[in-house]
Amino acid sequence: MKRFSFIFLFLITGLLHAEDPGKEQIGSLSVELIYATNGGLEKIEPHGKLLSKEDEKKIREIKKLSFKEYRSMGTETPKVLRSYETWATPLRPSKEMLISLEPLSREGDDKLQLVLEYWQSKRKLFSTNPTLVKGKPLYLLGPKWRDGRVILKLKLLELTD
Amino acid sequence: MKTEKIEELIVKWVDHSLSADEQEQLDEALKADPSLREEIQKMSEVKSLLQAELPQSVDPPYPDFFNSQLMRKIDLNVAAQQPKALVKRWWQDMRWAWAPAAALALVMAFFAGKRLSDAPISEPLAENGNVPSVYFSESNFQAEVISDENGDVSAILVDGLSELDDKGVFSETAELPVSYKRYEASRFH
Repeated sequence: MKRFSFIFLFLITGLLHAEDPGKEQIGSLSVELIYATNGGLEKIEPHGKLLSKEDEKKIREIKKLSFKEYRSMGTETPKVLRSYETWATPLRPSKEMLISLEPLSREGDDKLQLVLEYWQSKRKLFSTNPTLVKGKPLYLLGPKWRDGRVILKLKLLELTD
Repeated sequence: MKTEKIEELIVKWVDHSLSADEQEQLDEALKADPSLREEIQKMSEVKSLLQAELPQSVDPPYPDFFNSQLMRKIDLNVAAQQPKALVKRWWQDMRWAWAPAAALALVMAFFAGKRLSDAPISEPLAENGNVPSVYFSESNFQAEVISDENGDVSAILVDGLSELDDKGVFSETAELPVSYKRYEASRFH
């Protein structure tokens, strides 16, 4: 019986080392950090890139996100894993601001509902469960920073089978 | 005769360390309860198995400490034993089955988890799936959800968050969420 136990434990050890299907990539996102201000840009210069006219127009369509100036401070493209969370730290190289993303459900190839958590340092400040639609950005108006506001722009880039 | 005494005699019999007097007592017990022979047989088998699997002798690294700790554990164990538990021996006979049973449970849990994670996450979104809920860690936060003409969420505006401080932003000793550290560690394996 003892030998039998050893054989069983040996088999299990092998199984546990098998590839975890939950880690399979099922898509990807982009998380862009935009600095928006009604003042000057001296507090962030020389960093930041101009938004394209199309992007700027889209963001201005949302009245409460309408600011005088916008600058893109960086973009990350985290993978979406089947059943694990992934993280983005859009305020690079700082890790003061963190976003965790975990899929909840999907509809076809163009809609993904996920759990999004917003962290500052090691504190989770809020979580939400939005549905991202391919081709439509989702904006998150975040905290104040350097006389402006931080806006996070999330986009569903691809969703695979 | 008390069960504890019988067990002690059986152990001594298996170890060939019975005195003449104790041998007599064991014979009497066997006459009174012939099923004890089966137990003696099982203990002999276990002993043979252990002898075959384990080396003849291994010196513990700190013999005195080892012995004192072992005796302490045995004393505690004996003190904790309830006579009622000793009477119920049917499950004790099956103790060797516990390891494979636990192993089987692990395998089943693994496959159950695999099945769950294999399942496509393609269930239709909930009817209110397009209206996200926002959960805050502090009561002074507020959120406004803005949808476009198709009802798809286009913005979530959160107010009340503390301002990002450059001291924190550029701190090299920033404390990170444990789950993030785990995620970062797993990326490099």
